Amino acid sequence: MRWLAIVRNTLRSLFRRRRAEAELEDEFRYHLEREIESNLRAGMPPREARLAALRLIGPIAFHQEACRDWRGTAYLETCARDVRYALHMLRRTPLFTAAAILTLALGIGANTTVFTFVDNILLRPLPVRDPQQLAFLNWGAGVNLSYPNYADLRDRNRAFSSLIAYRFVPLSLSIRARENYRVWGYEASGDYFETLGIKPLLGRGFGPEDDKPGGNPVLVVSHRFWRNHFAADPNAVGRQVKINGYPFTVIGVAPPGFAGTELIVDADFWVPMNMEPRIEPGSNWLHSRYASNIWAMGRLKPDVSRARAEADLNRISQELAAEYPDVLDRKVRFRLSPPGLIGQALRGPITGFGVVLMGIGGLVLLLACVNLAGMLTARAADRRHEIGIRLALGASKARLLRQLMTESLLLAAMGGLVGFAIAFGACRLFSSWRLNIDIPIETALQPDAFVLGFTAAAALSTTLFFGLMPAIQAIRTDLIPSLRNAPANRFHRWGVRDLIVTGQIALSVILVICSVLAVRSLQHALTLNLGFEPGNAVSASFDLQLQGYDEKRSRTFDAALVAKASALPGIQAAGIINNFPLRIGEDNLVVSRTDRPMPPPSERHRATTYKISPGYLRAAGTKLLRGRDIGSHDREGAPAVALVNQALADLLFGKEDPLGKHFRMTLNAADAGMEIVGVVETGKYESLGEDPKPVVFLPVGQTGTEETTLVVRTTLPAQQTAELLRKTILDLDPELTLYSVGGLKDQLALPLFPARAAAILLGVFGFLAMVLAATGLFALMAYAVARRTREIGIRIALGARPGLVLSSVLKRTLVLCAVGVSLGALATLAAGRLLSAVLYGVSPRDPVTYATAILLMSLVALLACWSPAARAIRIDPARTLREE
Amino acid sequence: MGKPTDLVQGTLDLLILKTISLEPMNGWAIAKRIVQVSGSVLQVQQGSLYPALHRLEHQGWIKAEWSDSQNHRRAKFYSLTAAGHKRLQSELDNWHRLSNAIGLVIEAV
Repeated sequence: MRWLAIVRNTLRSLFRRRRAEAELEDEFRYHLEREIESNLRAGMPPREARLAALRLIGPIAFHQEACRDWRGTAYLETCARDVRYALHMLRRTPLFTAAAILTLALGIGANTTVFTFVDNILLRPLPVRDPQQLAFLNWGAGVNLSYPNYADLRDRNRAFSSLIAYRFVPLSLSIRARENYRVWGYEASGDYFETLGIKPLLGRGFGPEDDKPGGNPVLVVSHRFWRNHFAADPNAVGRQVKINGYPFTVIGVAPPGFAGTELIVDADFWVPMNMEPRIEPGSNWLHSRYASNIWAMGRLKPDVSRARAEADLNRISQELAAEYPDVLDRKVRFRLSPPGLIGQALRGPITGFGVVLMGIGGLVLLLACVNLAGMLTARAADRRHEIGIRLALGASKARLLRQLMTESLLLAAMGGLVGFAIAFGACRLFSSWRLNIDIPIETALQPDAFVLGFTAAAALSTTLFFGLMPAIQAIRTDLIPSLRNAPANRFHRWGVRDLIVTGQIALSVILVICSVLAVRSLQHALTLNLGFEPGNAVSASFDLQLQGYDEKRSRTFDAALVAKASALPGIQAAGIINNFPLRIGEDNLVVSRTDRPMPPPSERHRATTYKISPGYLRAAGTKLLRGRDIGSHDREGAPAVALVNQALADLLFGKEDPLGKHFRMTLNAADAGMEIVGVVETGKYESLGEDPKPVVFLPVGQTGTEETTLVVRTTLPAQQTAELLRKTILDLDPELTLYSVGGLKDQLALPLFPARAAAILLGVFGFLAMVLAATGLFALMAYAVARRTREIGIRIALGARPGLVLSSVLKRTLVLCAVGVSLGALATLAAGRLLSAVLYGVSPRDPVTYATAILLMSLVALLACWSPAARAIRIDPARTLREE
Repeated sequence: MGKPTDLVQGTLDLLILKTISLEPMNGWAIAKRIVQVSGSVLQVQQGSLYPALHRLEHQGWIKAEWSDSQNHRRAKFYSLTAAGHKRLQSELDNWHRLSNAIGLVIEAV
C-alpha cells in the first residue's frame, strides 16, 4: 500500500510537473499570507508584518528546492538537463563529436563482430535438450572410433544414459529422375533423435528399431533441404527418394534451427547408421574394429561427473585392449569435451583463434579509448575557463563530474549504436560469403540479444576508461589562473597526456606487429610447398559408386575420361586421384615394413592413402624425387607397387634407400606388401599447418577407386577449362553429380581460410590502430603547438632559428614515440606465443616483421607530427603577438 | 540543496505526525500548533517544515489534499495515511523508550 503511494507520488510529480510547481508556489504563498494576516491582527504595520513573516519562514527558494528534492524525480530532471547540456556542447564541436563517435564505433564494432563469432561458435550451446549433459568422446589424440568399439562402449558403460554415434558423409540424393543432389549429412545411431530430444517438425525421427543390422531405408531431411527441394511440402513425409540409386522413404523433417550435432557444418539429412552399405557402397566399416571413422557423444547420467565418466570409459578401453591386443593400444585414453566442435579437434584451435581475436579486438578498443581520452583531455583544457567560472559560481565538483561524464556516456552510447550497426553489417557480409567447396561449412553469424548486451557493456565500460580521467582532471582546475585565462603552466611537466600518447603508440605497435605477422603468415601460406602446384591446374570431382558403378565399369570410365581429357585443347597432363589433398576424408591405414615383424599397436605408423592414375603427378605438379612414376602397366595381376612421400620413406626406412623395398598396409603379417617404386615430395594433406605426414600413393589400376577427382594441367584459363571438363564428363555419363569443379587455387579456400581470416581481421585491426595512433598524435601535436603559439612567437621574435623551434616542439613527442614503440614491441615479444594459434610458418618473433612494423609506426608518427610542426616554424611573431 | 538534516530531523517527523493525527491541517497551522502546544518552547523554523512534509508525503506516511480553509482560501491539508498511523505509533514507542531511558540515567545520580 505504502509503495503504491510512493509510485503514485513519483509518477504524479514526473508527469504533472507544472501542476506540482504551481502547488508548491501556492502552498508557500498561503503560508506567507496567513502569517502576514496574523501579524497584522497582532497590530503590526503592513510593511513590518510582511518582513517579519518573511524572516520567520526563511529562504523560500531554498526550501522549495528542498521540497523538489523529495519528489523523487529530481535525479531524472537533473539527468535530462545534463543530457540537454551535453548534446548542446557536442553539437558545438561537430568535428570532435564525429571523430569521437567514429573512433568508438570502429572499436566497438570490431569487438562486437569478434564477440559474435565467439558467441555463435564457442558459447552458444547445441540447440538440443540439456546440452550441458552431453559430452563428446575424444580418443587419444584423435576423435574417431570404430563402430564395433562404439557398440562395446555403449553396451558396457555405466556413466551415460545413452551413447550415440554419428558420421558426416556425402551422398547422391535423387528426388525424381534426373534430379540428383550431392548432399552432406549424418549416418547416425538409432537413439540419436531420442537422446538429443529433437522433435521433428513433421513425421518422426528414426529410432533404434530402424537401426538394427540391415537397417531400414528411411531418412530425415533438414528443414533447409525440405524448403529448398520439397518446396516446404506438408506432405513430404512418406515420399520416396533415391539415395545412391536405392529407394529410401522420408519419415521426418528436422525442426528449423537444428542442422546437426556439429556447429560448423550444415547437415541436410540423417539416415540410420546400419544403412552404411547403401550410403557408402563398397566399404564395410560397421564390422571392422580397425576402422576409425565415427564420432561418439553421450548423455551423462544426472549424478555422474565428467571425470567419473572418463574413468568408466577407460576401464572399458582396458578391457577391449585386453580382448583385442593386436588392434587396440592399451595406453590410449578417453577424454570428454563439450559437444559441437568435433571434440577437441576443432574446439582447441578455434578457442585459440577466438582468444587471439578477442585479445586483439580488446586492444583496438583500448586504443580507441585512449585516443578519445586524449581528445577529451585536450577539450577539457579548452574548457578550463568555462569550468572555472562554474566552480566559482558554486557548482559542486560532483555535479560537474556528473555532467562531464554524461557527455562521455552520450558519446559512448552513440558510438555503441553505430558500432553495433557496423558489426551487424560485418556479420551479414560474412554470412553471405560462400566458400567454393564441397562441404557445407556453416558461416552464418547472427548477433543476438546477448551480443547486444555485450556491446552495451563495452560501450559503458569504455565510458569509464576514456571519460573518467579527463573529467577528474578537468574539475581539478585551479580557479584563479583559469579565470584569468592564463595558460596552465602544467603542460611542461610530464603529465597524463604524455602517458596517453605513450600508451597509444605502444598499443598500436602491438596491433601493427600482429597484423604484419598475419599478413606475412598468409603470404607464407600462399607460397607454401603444398606438394602440388595449384596454379594452372583444374579439377572436377564425382562419385561413380554413388551412381551404382561397379569396380570394372568405373575403371573403364576413368580410363576413357583420362584419354578424352588429355585430348582437350590446352591440356598438358591429365590424371585421376580418389580424393584430392586438403579436402577432408582421408583414409589412414597402418603401414609396416615386410622385412620386420608386425610392431605392437602403440608403435604402429599410420599413413594417408591416395589412389592415383598415371599422369596424376604431372597434372597436379607433384615432384617425383626418385624412382619412377606409376605407369599404365601397373595394373591388376602385375606386381603390387606404390609411391611414397619423403616423410614416409624417412619414417619407415630412415637412411636406407627405400626404392625396391616392400611395405604392407594390412595387419596380416603374411602379406607380401607392395614395392616402393618412387618417392615424391612431402606436401600438405590435411591442413596447411600440419607437420610432415606420411603418405602412400597406390595405382588405381591395382586398387580401383570410389570417388574420383580428375585433375588436369592446362594453358587455358581455369574457368574455361572447368567448363570443358564438366562437358566432357557429362558427355560420358549425364547422370553424374559433379562437385568441386574449378581451378585448384579457388579450391584452396578452405585450408587457406584461417590464414586469410586472420590476415583480413588483423590487417583491419592494424590499419585501424595506425589511423588511431596517427590522429591521436596529430591532435596532440596540433594542440600543443596551438597552446604555445605565443611562446613560440616570442622565441622566434627573439631570434630562435627554425631548427631550435622544431626541436622544442618535436623533442618530447619523439621521445614519447620511441618509448611507446619499444614498450609495444617488448609486450608483443612477451605475448608472442599466443599468436602462434593463427600463424603459419612465421615465427611470432620474426625480426623482419618487427622491423617493418616499427618502421611503419615511426613513419606514421612523423607524418602525424609533420603539419603541426611545420605550422610551429611558420608562426609569424608579429601577428601572434598582436593577437594577444 | 541538502536535505533537511536539522537536529530535530527525527523529532520533527514525530511532531508533525502527532500534530496531524487529530485532524487534517495545513502547513501554517501545523507550525502554529507546535509552537502553541509546546508553550513556545519548540520554535519550528517554518521553512524547513515544508521539506519535511513533502518527504513524509513522498514516503507515503501522510497524504495531502487541497480544500478550503477557514477563510475560504484553498490550502493544502495534510493527514495521516494508514501506514502513517502505524508509523506514528512506533515513533511514539521509540520516543517513550528513549525518554524513559534518559530519565533513568539522569535520575539515577
